[in-house]
Amino acid sequence: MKYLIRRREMVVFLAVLFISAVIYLNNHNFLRLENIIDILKANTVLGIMAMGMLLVIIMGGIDVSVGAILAAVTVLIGNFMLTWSDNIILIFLIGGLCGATLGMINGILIAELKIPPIVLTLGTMSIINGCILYFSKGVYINNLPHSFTEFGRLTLFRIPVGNGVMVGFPVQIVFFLTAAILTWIILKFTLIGRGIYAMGGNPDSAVRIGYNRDRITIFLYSYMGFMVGLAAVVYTSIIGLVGANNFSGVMLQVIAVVVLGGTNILGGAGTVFGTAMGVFLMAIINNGLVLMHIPAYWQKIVAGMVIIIVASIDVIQRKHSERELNKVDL
Amino acid sequence: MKKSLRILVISCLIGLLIMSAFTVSAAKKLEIPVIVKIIGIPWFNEFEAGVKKAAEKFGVNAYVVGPTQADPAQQVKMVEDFIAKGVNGIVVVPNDANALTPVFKKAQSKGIAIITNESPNQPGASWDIENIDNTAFGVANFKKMAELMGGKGEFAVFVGGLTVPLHNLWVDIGLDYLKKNYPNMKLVTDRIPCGEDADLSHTKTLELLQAYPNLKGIVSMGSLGPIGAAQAIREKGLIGKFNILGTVIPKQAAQYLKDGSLQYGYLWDPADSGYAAVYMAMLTAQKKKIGNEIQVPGFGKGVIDQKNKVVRFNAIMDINKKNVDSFTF
Repeated sequence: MKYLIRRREMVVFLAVLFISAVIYLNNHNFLRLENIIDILKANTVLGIMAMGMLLVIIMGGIDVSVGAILAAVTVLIGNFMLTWSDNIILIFLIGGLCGATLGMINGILIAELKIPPIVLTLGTMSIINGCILYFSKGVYINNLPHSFTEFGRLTLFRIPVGNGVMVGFPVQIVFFLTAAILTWIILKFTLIGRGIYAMGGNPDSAVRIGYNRDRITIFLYSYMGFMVGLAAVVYTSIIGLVGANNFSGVMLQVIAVVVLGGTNILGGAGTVFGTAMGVFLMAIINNGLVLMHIPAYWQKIVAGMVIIIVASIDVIQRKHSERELNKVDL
Repeated sequence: MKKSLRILVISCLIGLLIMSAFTVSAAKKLEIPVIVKIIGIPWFNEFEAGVKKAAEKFGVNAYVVGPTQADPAQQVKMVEDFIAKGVNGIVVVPNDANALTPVFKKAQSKGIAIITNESPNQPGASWDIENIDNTAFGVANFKKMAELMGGKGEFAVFVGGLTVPLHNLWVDIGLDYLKKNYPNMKLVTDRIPCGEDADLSHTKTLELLQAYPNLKGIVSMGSLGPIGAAQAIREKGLIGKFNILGTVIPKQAAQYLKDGSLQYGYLWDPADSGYAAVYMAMLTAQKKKIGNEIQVPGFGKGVIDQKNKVVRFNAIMDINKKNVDSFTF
């Protein structure tokens, strides 16, 4: 038990359980399979992007251009679908590639010019947003191919829940799981993964050990872009239309869930499990407040308070463990 | 070196002189620039079409400019530039009514007509053009919902934001109307601020369906709310059992209106706003006397509120399954 509480992501996990219990006691619909699946589906986009952001933040970087890249890729694949092909695999490939390319541009500029990531990505964010507006003229695409919208509604393992209604496992969740597992493998089993932690902990020593800082940076931002590209396709499949200017708040949410999941914003620490928990926590707070019939005016206030409470428990823990560390040193 | 520089400067000056002489001689037409909230989005592209139509029809030099972001400061700067240029009238769709007041007063003092759109009680403007009557618009939405629901049952309301003045005004008017005429219509929760985001409206609709199992309808202000809600209804197989209506852009709403996940849409045509505003600017610049009514050629009759300096047209568009394909935007 003590071990569990000491792990940062466990704090978030316990918070998820606790808040779920509170919501369930207020409204039994919360734990209905249908609702849980709705929550998961609605948050896959956030989850996939958070996986990319996790790596970037562990290394001590940040990417605020994710919303812009997301918008850019949705517009690109939207036009691609209309003019060339509605082949799902091809769309995912193009989406991922476009995202990765935009991410790689961020990575190369950060590595070569040594500009702080937040400044550089703010710049690219503005450039990308401008380009989207210029090329798309802000027009919405709402006649996506039928096969693609059908794909968006695809479900696996259909389960009857009474009244003849079938509830299935939306295809989008598969992509979130894939993203999470891929990220976990990178962090756990690859040299680059070790390098990311090392860089985030202490860049100078990491370079001295022999990690190539530039190469890792470029890989990271490309991976971030790839995840955003994937998320863009998933997003389009859920929402069934493509619009240019509706992602301004996304980047804050992505960064918030990663940090909420116990990732150190200064770099060096963070896990896939914690981030996934961060996504769930954010998701159930938003969902639960509606289910508990709390008016819209209060929802933002409560959501903010929960974030602060969970984060401060985490910080108190960290202080506590640091104090113990001192005792050993003395 | 010095000599060539001098020649360059002199030739530039001569060029400028010729240019300005040329513009003066060509400036017989009234010049009326139109500053919109933001350029490049479908809404104001349509608005621009109306301005162009008016320019052609009335023989004025009217054209659209605007910032690429909804930025009040840039609009202020543009008005300043046009005052310096010495145009005859300026039409503005303000991002921030108060921020523009000082430059509007400055323009008026130079004899430049200022016409605004969707900014009632704008200080410093000669006239404000309103394409819809807010009371009629609010009532139209909520009355239709009450009719669809048979006058009783639970419903919810989306707005673009809790601070968007017009959205909340329409909802206030509509709810008031329901209270008096359909007392059995029950609003389940406070208005939800998601109407400008399709994804968020989709999520919120799913959540509302879980939270309020008897929910029968959603009225949404903000053009993407009805779309997101309709998607949720489609996904849950509730077409025909659930009612959604609100402000929509016809092209975006077409597929939902056709499959019945969305029942009705209400809007006004931004091209009409642009058209009427240019006409009004022309009349004001020509110092024509304006009475209690105005007939805009090629558009319709407007009622003039001399006290508040507002010109009202009642041009609510009723968008439904049958007529949705007839709109160009």
